[in-house]
Amino acid sequence: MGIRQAINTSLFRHISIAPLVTFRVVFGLIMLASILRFWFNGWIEEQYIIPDFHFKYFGFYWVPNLPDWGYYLSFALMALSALGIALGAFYRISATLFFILFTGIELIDATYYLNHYYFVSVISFLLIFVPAHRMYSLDVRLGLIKLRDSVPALSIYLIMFQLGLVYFLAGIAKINSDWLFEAMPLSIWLPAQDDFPLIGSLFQYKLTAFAFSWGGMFYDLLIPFVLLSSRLRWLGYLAVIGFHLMTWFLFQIGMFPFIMIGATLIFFSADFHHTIHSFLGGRVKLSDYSRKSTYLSKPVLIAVSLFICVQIALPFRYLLYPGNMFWHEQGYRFGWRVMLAEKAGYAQFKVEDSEGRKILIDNSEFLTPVQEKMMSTQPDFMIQYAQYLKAHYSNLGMDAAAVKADVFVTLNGRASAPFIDPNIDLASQTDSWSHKQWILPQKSEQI
Amino acid sequence: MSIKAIPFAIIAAVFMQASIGCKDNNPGEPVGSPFAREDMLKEMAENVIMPSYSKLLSDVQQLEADFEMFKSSPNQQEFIAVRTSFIAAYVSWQSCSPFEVGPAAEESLRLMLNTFTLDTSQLKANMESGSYDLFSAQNSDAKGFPALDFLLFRNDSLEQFTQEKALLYFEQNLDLISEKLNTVISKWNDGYDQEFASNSGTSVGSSLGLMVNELNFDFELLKNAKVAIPLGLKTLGVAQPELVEAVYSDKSKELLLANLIGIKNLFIGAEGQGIDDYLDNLDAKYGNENLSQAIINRFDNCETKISALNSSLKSEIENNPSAVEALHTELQNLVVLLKTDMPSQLGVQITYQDNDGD
Repeated sequence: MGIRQAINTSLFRHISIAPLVTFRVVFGLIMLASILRFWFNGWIEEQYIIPDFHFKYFGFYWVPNLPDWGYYLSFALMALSALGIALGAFYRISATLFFILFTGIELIDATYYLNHYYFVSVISFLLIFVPAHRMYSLDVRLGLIKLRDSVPALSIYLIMFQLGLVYFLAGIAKINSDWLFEAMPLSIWLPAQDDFPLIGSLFQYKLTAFAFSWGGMFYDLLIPFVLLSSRLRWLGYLAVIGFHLMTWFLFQIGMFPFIMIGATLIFFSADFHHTIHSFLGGRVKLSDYSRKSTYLSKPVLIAVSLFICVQIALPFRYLLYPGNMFWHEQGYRFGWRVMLAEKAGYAQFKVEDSEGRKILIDNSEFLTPVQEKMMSTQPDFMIQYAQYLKAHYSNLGMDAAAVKADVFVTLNGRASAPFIDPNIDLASQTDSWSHKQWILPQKSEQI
Repeated sequence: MSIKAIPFAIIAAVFMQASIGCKDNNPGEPVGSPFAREDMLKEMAENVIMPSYSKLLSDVQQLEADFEMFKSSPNQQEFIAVRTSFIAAYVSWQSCSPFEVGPAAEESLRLMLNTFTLDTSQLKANMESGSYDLFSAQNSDAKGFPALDFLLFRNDSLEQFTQEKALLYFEQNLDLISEKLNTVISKWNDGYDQEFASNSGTSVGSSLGLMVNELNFDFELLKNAKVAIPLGLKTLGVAQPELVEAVYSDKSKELLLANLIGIKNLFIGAEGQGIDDYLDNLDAKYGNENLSQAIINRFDNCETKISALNSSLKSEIENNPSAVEALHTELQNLVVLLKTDMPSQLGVQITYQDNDGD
């Protein structure tokens, strides 16, 4: 069997669309709920309208801040397109719109970065291309598109791959000495939750933090494979529910647990999903699609390979930087590093004129508490903030020559230590992918 | 290798890495004896917060009594008595300043009682017109202790103070202080004490979370408003000694010291359990020493630097700024621990927003 044929029979062979349909509906509804929750918590105002200044992602400095109504409009359209995804209404447009709006809003301020926001961006990007609307959708009901009960296997495998990757790389990220041999940061976070029902009193013990650390690592590394095994799948899914509900109770982790509990349903068999659909009133009788096949498309194959390479390579780019990535955070984002570091910083910025006379900056005058918290530990944000301060004081007529900062950071319970060179003019730095020499090396100190 | 073998391969690989990297650890030992945050909070309320409020209340009552005496017989001796009891009350306020949680937050106590720098032209205009609302936004800088400080100390002779309009403004501000304080104290006694102790989690709205945030907020006010700004650290080194707290009575040094000791007292919980004990319980370290001790040492360093100033902060800024700069450096050293190591080890959250752990 040639390789072309092998790919044809594995990736382009048709399989039941049912798991993908469930995924589409569940993802759309959870997104809708997330957007409404964000809105009703007042976070549109708090995170986007109130701040005078927004931090950007490297390479995305051009993303403009919106007028106030622009944020509300974006979130309203986002909610509408999430509903569109769930209902399969004008599906391609809905999925595209959702991806653009969601990602666009994330790009406005990088201090709000969360792994699960990035996950949502990636998944919604994939949804644009997979035909998840061919069954049980408004598009079919309205006759915009023909009913089809099968999809090329690739459509479903790609989403499974992405989910599996998130877990597996989160597991790999946990294989570090702080997590495994110091049980950090759980040794800090668990005792703070000792009022947790039933097992709270156990959180006082270091042993519990170790058990959670090691258990969490094995869970992340193994769960993709357990979910793939038809024999262990139910057991695995119970573990998914238990694990994520636990993190939801313990931490301020938002919608992430529910996204994962909903999304991992895609690992279940077509029969399982048919049963759910019929139970909910689905009437589509299934045809025999086992011999159907879409033919291998080279562009699709190249695009998918590229996507997979990027997804695997991006989290490991940190290896190109010297030192502890948890300390300097270069190559940290987009790496599925969830709940891995207890970090806090204090940054005293100073704007200097050309004679070296100083103005000490009170960060709360310019930044919200969240922005300040994130800026105080992440060097690329320090550059952006310094440049903002320089522009601000120049506009006031000051001869703002340099912006420097005394920054102290504590990581996973280590004593706070100087984080950057206090004599460097941050405002004259340009962010790039190269290593920032002015980040001081972490004191190799035990916790 | 079949797909089923992958999990076992992973487990084996990880254990191999673990056996190489494993250090000496004692994972069976508890982080501390099971420690009830609730008890700490209860003791903080009983040993620090309530006694501080009571002391302030009795000092304010003394001030009211002395002021009544002065009104009935306005002479130099009574004038001095009013001044003295005012300073005592202002000093007592300083230890209450960090408790801006619950009732005090609802009543905006700090804003009501001690917003400085005083807007003297607004105050004079109010006094002249006789019609004003101390609660309105435009009067936010024209009331409370700074207003009393101005009225009592702008002139050493009692002539200006005995003017009817001045006496009236003084009395109304004194009433404001007394009324706000009484409201806060009665709310504490009418159930907030229970609520404070039982809200014993570590999230943003928890008592510990609020306390840590307010302790830090008050400390930043101390460092910035009371020292850095008058010293000129926000104005390219151009000192602004007239912006010190209590500039008319020139008691800013005494107030600064009382404020610092008040914040420290909240941290150590006076005679009872405080945040320091809780940190010890969590076995929180700063390098080789206990984090609690490191923080106390830095408090002591700040205290030493304040005590080393001559009696007037204002004149030190004018004549001996390096001593005040040295104090600012120590305050800066302390704030690093208060805003990074302490909240980090306590596991308290600073915002309601979602986070995924960094």
